Amino acid sequence: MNADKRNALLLTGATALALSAHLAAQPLWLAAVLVGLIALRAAQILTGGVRIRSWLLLALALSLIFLVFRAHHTLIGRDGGMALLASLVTLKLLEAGERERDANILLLLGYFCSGTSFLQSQSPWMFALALLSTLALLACQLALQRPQDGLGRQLRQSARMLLEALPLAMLLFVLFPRLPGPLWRMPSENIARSGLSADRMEPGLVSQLALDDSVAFRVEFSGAPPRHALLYWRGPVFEYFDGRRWLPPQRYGIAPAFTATGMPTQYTITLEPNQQRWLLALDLPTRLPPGAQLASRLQAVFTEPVTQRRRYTLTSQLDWRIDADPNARFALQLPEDSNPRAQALAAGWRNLPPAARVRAAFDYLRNGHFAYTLEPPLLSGPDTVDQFLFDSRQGFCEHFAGAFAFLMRAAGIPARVVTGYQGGDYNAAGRYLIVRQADAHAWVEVWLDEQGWQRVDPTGAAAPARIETGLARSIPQGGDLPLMLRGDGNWIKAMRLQLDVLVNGWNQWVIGFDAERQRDFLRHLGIDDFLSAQYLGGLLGGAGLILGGFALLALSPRRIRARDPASLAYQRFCRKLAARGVERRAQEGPLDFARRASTALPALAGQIEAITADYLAVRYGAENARLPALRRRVSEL
Amino acid sequence: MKPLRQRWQDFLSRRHPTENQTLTLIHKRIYIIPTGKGLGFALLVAISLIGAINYQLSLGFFFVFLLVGLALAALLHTYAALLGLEIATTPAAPVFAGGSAQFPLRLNDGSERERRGVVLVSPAGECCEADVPLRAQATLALRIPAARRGRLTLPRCRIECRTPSGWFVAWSYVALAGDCLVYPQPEADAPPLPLGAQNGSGGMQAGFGDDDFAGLREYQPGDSPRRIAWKQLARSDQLLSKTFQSPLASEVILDWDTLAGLDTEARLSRLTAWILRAEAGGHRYALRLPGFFRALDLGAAHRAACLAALAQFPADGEPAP
Amino acid sequence: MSLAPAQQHIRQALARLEEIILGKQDALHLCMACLLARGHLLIEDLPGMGKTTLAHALARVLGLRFQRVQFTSDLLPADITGVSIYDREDARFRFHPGPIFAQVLLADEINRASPKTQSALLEAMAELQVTVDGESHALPEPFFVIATQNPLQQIGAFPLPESQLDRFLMRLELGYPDERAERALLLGEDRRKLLSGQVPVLSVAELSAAQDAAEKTRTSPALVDYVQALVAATRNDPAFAYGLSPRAALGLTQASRAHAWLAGRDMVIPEDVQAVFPGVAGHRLVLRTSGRPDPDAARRLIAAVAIP
Repeated sequence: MNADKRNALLLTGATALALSAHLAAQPLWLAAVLVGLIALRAAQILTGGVRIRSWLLLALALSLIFLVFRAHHTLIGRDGGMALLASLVTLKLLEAGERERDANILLLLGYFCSGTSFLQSQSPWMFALALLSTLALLACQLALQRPQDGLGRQLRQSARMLLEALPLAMLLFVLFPRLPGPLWRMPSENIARSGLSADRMEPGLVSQLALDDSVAFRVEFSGAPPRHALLYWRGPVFEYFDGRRWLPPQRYGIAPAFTATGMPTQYTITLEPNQQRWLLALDLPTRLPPGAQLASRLQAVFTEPVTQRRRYTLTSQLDWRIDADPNARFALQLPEDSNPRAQALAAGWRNLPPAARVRAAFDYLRNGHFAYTLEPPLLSGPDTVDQFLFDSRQGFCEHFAGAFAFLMRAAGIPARVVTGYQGGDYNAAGRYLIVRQADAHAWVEVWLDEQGWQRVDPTGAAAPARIETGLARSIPQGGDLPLMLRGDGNWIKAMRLQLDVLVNGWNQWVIGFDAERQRDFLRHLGIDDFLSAQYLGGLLGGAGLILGGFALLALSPRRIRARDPASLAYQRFCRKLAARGVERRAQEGPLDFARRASTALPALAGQIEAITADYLAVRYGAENARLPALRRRVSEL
Repeated sequence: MKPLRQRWQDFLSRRHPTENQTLTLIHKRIYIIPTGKGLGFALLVAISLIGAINYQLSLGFFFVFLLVGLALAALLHTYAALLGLEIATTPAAPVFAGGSAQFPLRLNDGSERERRGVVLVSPAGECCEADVPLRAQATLALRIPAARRGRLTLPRCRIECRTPSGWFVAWSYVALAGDCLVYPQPEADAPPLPLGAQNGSGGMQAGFGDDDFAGLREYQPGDSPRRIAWKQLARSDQLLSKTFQSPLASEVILDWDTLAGLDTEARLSRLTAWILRAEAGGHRYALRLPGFFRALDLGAAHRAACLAALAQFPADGEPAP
Repeated sequence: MSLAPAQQHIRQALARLEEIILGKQDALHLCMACLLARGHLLIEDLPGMGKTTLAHALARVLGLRFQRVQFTSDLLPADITGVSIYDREDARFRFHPGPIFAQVLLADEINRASPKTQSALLEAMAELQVTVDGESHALPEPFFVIATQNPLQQIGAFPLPESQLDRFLMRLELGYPDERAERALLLGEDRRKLLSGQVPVLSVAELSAAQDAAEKTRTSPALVDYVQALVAATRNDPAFAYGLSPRAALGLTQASRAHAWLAGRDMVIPEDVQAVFPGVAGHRLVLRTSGRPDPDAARRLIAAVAIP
């Protein structure tokens, strides 16, 4: 294969590598079309086949634009824009001829695609992929400049240049001033929301999450973490029941005042982006991060949806009481004629005092042979509560919570459903708690006069272990659970936990290095302001240090060959003689020099002769045993 | 006021005076600017930076800064490829007028660094490229068109390097003392050599050489069996050897004064053509010019001496040497 | 330093030669090194400088069979290699070996012979055999050619082309003897008489052993670096039409080994390379400008190339 062909293939490969992240984000059929076009280009190079005519290219471009629009319903913004970029780069690849200009444009587009692949994900793997594609593009860049060189050489030099670029990149990464917000607002993105649903809760919705072992958030406690049974991460609250589904409160008010008792717990949460506004906090937060507030149903919410991984520190107190809540009256709403059997059951408790009604309902669930299962039978028909309570008797937490809240309301006690997460997986290696989507949970709050809102977890009635230890112990047949959620401590799980420590560190320090974190970090270094002398000093000093390092490494003469020890000793000898006025010329043989030096310095003739003999024997006669003698004699001189 | 171009040339001559035999590219002599490619890359970096700021992409920032670092590394590599390079002239081989003089310039790696893609650009824009290996030398032959006979001096030329990335071009100027002898252009259809005009005898000598069959003679011990005339042996049972002969070299004296009817340049051209022809034909020749004589001889040294005399012959109006 | 018997004998031979050829110690050393390195020698000098005496004395002292061929313009290849002569009684050709079948061959004024004759000799030197009429005849062991060239008389001469010069390991110039040596020469005995009185100091087997021993002299990587640096310098110097060939580099190493062995060392040092380099490289470094070898080029290079 000749060099031109090889370089063209290299360019195609590097561009494909730079595009790979974007291709993976496309719908399968679109990705397949683009990959097919790239393969066509490779085949075109290999076989020296005909160029594609320009009208065909135009038609291809138009149809690709159409396909992108079909896939994303837009041509701008993050999704549509990136898909369009990937399509156009692929077309440019097809259109590119032998001209150097085409290759240059492709290279620039390739770098751009590598950089924008972080819009898709900022995982370490994506970072590695971007580095790899940059390396390949750089090798192309060098190949373009010197097509005659070997590929290995170009890759080596590219790797070297990448390594040389790292110090400056790290310096600027740390010191370049970050802005707290975007320069301009992007059109809202159509990104799937993940995790808890904020608009309804119905049977089957939470149990869908139970098999999802992706991380919802990670928590670092500044003190000892509370017991597992106390870890209720409060999320959306549902108040309006339409007979089948629980919906968010219909009316909003102000948050009631509450009195917190017990020890405050301080912790920091790193929340994975979920495109929602919920700020998950331990029940109940007393100090919230800036930009967050406590809503009327005591849920903490951000003003903006979480589109980036966010890290926030807050304080919660696990015991609290509320004396009066105007919103409590909305928590008695029930549709008139729904679930008659359950209504009838609850009507029987109306004569009991409120606390006894709660206990009665709880006992009913505990003693009624209810089963806690991941695969509850599908509840169809209008009266799902009746169906669950009296027919199937199998359910997941949302069944229990929904039914319990219904019974309470029917018995005349204000009740509402709270969703969130319960528990978490303590990662001892990283000393933090991982809360996964599978830890999603639903429980009930009932209003008791004199006591305020009280948390009741009806799931505990059927499966107390769910609350105490977690999901894995409470499901009889753990086989269906994903690996990370199973209880048996296998080594794969241990390894994955170790890996999660790295991922967490990456999230905290690389991806999460935003304006706030930068300010903290710089303050730690004693820099308060971007306009301060310290900051400028650090920036310029660091850049100077890097340049100086370059000057030392790249610009100063390189000593590539490790010096032979005999030569080193001999050079020392020559320096000593030079100090006495006899300088050896580089072209002068050792014997000639010894002769000249002995004539000039007769007093040293014996030593000079001995040293020269030793040196010759070691360097040219391979008698390494004489090396120590040579060194000793040179030292003695 | 002088034209801008002239002023620029004057500035360059002052800043890069003609050095003797060698010159070392020190930092003061090297200039570096981004190329069009480099500006494109800078634009890409700027766009990416804006994108990273807007999307608050931490890794996007890192990627942008990595590209900045790459550009810096490329700049330093390009600069280092010229820094410390030693350039020396070596004697240029004489050429005939109308051809191109090749000035061999020796590039010597003066500071233990490998240099690749060093390009020398002549004032006419002709390029030649070389790699200078580690601790070694490379030779570049700079082609300068030689229009007139005489001495052609090495013009100031540009030495540049774009490797490794092509984002930057580092350059300097090479002004070295060096010249090349330009022989007169040989006359295209010169009349034949004036052989025999003096004493030439284009005869053949028998028994010598092996070009043409000359006849048969009786076999003598020592004759190669290949030369035995086997046909004759078969016919007459007499052992005979074939003999061959070659033309014998002759002598010619090339005299300026015999070409009285022509002007100076035409005479020089004809003499040049004759010298070449005599060399090719193996004729010994002598050359006589006003103030110059070279006795009968043959061979490269003789030819060089004669042609040099023609090259440096004073033009009309110049005083004789 | 204790010397091996072979070394002692060679030194003895050198001492004898120095008695005959006065004041030419270095040249004799190089000549002996060339012989030990199994190379051939080209002596370029004016007539009467003792070229013939040197060759003759060498053969005498080492007990080798000596032949001398005066090259002239009408010398035919067969005059050197030998001929197949038609024997009428046997009715077939019988090979009569020529003067080349000697152990020391003095090819006097080699540049006077036609290129054809020259190449016949040089081919034989390279292949150590003579092929006449399709039949190969091996040359004796050792086989050492001393060719001489007269640098002045170029008229009617055929200077050896570069490709042929490469076949000679070394080229030497004897030059005028110094005043003292010349005085001794004038006052002393007749050289020819001195020569005839010589008896061999070592046998052919011993010479062969000495050649083997010289070849085994230790050559360290550091020394090879130096040899390569020198060779690279010839190749990179644009003053030369072309640099030293790999054959020349090999010859340089072998000659250095022989020189070191002669000096009684068991390893080659840079001084050995420097000593043989002008002899080995001088005739191979052709100037680009004049097209002729530059006798001073080698010394210039030695003064320019640093010892690594």
